[in-house]
Amino acid sequence: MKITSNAFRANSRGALQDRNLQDALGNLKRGFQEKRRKAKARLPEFEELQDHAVAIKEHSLDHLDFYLERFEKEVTARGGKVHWCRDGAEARATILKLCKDVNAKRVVKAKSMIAEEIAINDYLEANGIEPCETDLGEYIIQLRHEPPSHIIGPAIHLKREQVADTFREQHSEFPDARKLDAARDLVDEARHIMRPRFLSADVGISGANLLVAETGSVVLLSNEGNIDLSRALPKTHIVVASIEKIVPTLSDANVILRLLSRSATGQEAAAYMSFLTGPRGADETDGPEAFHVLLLDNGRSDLLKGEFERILHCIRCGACLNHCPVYGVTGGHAYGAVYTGPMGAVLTPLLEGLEHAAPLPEASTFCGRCEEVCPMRIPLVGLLRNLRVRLLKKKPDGLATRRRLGVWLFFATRPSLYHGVARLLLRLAAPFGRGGALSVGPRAGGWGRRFPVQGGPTFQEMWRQREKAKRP
Amino acid sequence: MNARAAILGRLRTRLGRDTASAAELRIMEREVAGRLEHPPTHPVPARTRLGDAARRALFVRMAEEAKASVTPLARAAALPESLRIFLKARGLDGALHATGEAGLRALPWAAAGISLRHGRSAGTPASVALAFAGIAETGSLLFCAAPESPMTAHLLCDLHLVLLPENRIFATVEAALEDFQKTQGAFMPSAAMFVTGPSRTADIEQQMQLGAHGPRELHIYLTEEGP
Ligand code: SF4
Repeated sequence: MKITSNAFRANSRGALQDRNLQDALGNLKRGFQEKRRKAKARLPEFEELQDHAVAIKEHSLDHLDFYLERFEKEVTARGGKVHWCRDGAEARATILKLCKDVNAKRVVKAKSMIAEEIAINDYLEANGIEPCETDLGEYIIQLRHEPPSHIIGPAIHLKREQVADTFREQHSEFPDARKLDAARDLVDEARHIMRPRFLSADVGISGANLLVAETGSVVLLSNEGNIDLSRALPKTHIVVASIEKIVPTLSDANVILRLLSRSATGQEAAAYMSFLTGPRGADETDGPEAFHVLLLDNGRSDLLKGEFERILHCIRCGACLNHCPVYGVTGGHAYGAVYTGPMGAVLTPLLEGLEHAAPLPEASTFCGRCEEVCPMRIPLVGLLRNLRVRLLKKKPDGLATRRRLGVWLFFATRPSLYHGVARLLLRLAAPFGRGGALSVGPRAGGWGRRFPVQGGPTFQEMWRQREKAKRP
Repeated sequence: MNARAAILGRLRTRLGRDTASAAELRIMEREVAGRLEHPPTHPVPARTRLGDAARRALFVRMAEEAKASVTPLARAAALPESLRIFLKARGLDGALHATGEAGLRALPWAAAGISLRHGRSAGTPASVALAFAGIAETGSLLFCAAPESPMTAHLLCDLHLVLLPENRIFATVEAALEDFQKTQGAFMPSAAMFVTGPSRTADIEQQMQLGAHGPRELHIYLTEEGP
């Protein structure tokens, strides 16, 4: 996908005026937030598991070279093949070659953020191979030529009626007058369309939730059953995984898995959780004959041992999106990138370059709810702050801005002086206030305060009077 | 340089391997090998540390919460008759797709007028399978790919009917996988699939709908006496 993150401000203004989007986003609170809270409350060990999960990730990243090699050894021993890819271009070329080697015409795809990151669909299509998304949400946005707007629910920005319109427009094989009002009708229609595609596909492509070094297993979660169908039916299964997905052992994987579903959808367990190890065994009647795993770097190794390493702990649960007040009103598309919400605001500038996603680190109120709910305890606010520091250093007027901020800081850290000066200035400025308000501040990226100018007492003065009046 | 060497090289530089001494590297390798052999003990939910009866009860509660039904049967031999009644109520004839475990095949199917089909499923309305294990923590079933146990048998039919002997209920995913490794001699099957309830989706306005691409219903028959 071509990123348009620099248009975040304009995008979000549009998003705020989009009634359908605002209605759809209203479901976030009732859905994801409540369910996560309940699931967490039912697992008293949640926080202890978090501590372990963080330690596992730290250890895995500290020994990434060892564990990736071990993973490769195990996959190979089981008759699979590992392909290392430095960037999206290498991954796309590898996938295309694997598809061409088996003369693939049709590929079924299970939802994968990495596949979005490397924009594999457009590439396959341009090369004469039909990529079919099978996850319902992902299928809907494929029909609408849209990027996903949420890591877990790619079509979360859409209302039922919009999906029905899309289906009517694109599924010409069904009678026009059919009923498509209920979610049930839409799910059934997609199921009906998808079945023959599963049965006729030559290749299945999926991502990976985790890779297990000890056994060479790929762990995949889904609710719809589409991932397992994409694996069991085609002759070739291609897994695309970024290198930081690795954990040492099955027991380590289970720690993270206990946190993942609960944080993502509030489920105790996803409907399907599969540990896939190698191609089908001798005499097995289904499952892939060829099993390929792509290990994709695409910028991850540069983050190792640096100030942004912690973002590599992300398990893509989506909790930070679901609880973000900015995401909650702009939705995902405003971010103009594959990864959205707080984790996207951190990761997109790091993967794509800060100059291509400059507004994203600013797309936060720093309220800290994201890090409060992050199962991996990623300090998202701190990481965003580090990115803002980088931005400021890069700006041509960075020095002047910092001077202005310095003056501001002098007053802002001396409350009585600040209020005295503010009071004085506001009195003096009363005749000049436009629209009853005056902007004061260091003018750093829209940073500052708007003061009401009505010549009356300031809030602080009123507050003091009120408190005094309360005293006997 | 090929991609593999380039990526590993970059990782090693970032991780300071090039400045480490040979002795330090050996120690590190030993540590990692040791951790793989003996992974640290991680917390396991206390609610799964139960006696047999309570573990069974937890399994039933969690499976039902995930929208599966659980029917207790005194003996596995009672399954065919139970399914005959079920199929009749659904207006289906007596054909079932089935996994091929000897224990399942040996049940009195003919007496109940049910014929079994084996191998890769082509999507008959209903399938019957023997689960490798049940997981009390989550109410999940574990299916392990094997010549007699194709994964499509659990994915392509609308009605997923599963036989689970009570003594195959384990506390956790870890415990069930450990049992597989101990009893089957293989480290991992080509696919170990944990199934919790029927397939589902909430992709339309976050409303949960059962029956996405996999089974629409999951019915578990829990037997006191295994096949
Ligand atoms: S940053 Fe944390 S909360 Fe956000 S998706 Fe990643 S793991 Fe989940």
